[in-house]
Amino acid sequence: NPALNPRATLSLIVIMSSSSSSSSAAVLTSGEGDEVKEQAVRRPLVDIVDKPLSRGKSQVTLSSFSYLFSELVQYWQSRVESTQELERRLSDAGYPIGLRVLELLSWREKQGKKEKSLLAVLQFIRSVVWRSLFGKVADGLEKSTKSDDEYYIYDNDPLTNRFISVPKDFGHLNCGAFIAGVVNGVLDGAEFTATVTAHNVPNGGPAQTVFVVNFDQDVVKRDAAVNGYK
Amino acid sequence: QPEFFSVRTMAQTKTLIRQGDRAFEKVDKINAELFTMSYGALVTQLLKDSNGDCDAVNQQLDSIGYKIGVRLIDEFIAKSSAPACRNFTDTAEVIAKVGFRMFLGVTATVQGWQEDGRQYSLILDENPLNQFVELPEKYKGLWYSNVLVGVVKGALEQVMFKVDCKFERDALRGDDSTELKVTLQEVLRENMENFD
Repeated sequence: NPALNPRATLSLIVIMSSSSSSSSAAVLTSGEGDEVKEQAVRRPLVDIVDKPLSRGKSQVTLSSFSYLFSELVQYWQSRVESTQELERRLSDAGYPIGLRVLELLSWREKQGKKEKSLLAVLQFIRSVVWRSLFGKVADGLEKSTKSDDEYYIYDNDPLTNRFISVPKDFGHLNCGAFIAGVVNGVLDGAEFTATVTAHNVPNGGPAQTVFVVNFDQDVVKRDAAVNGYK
Repeated sequence: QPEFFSVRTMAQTKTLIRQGDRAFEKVDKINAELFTMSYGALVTQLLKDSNGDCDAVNQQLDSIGYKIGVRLIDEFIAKSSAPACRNFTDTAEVIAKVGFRMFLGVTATVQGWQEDGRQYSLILDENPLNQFVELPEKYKGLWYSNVLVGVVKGALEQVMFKVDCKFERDALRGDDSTELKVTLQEVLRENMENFD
């Protein structure tokens, strides 16, 4: 170790190598005076995937989320031409969250087990995913009587809609599109590809939202074949 | 004219910590991960739309934070029992122990007071915004949690303290801690125009 003369202006660069591809440097500069000034001491960047997984119990104030979400909506609002496009942007924003939620919960809650049937993955979403994200299970899960690829997930009071008031000229805007995107991400990630959209329930409660899940036909066929349905 | 420099005693800070805990206990809460990931979605979108221009995104996060801060202060005043800040120096521990606690669930430490009492730093050991986040090399210029800077500015302006706030260090960049520096620019006078 070279001796440090505190009165000299001498800079010492120590390169620390880390497990990740980038290396960090600690720069120690001796200024005039007795103190050695430490500038931007950098730790080696720990690879985030090597860190232990959190238990998922930490919480944050609901209003913080609603302020944030409100700004998210306003950000796109100024950049789109129609309600549908706004809903699509919200849904696109939720999608990568769905992918990550699937991975996170698969490891944490299911020890990496994959769901093997359509019904099982929907149950997973309705209970595990909903409970993890919203602190409650979804209020309903139904299969459509009209088509074999359509299912409904109900939420009587989706988080995203609680603090957003939709003005008249925004028509049928449902900010639950964000949650629809999350569900979509979970399903696509679990290889049950589908489209998911959020709708206000016509005669339901003021906030009741239905998430309409339409599975791809080959997913439906595969599920029937694998699980022995007719 | 220099501010009256009131030094917070340990007892006063302990009281604020209790107030922060109580406020956080009272409010409705959600899973922090949803919040974290939603913030990530916002930052990702901003980076995409600006083609990776970190300075522009830092600015946008600041503006977004400002809009939030201006609204959030009302809720803070209504729901926390923190005392009104008579001086700029009072704002430090109130933000650190009550403000952050009430909205982010974590407390900050106040350090780095300047002698004239016009500047302090808030040190965050934990930041729910950056859980699960890794900052790639090309975004080294990004202050990922820059929304906080705007929130502090917006909130304080509503209680008549015009401040500058910025990140000095961020654990996400490999720094040993996360530090926000708050500097008083001026104490605003209430607009008395509407009073006859």
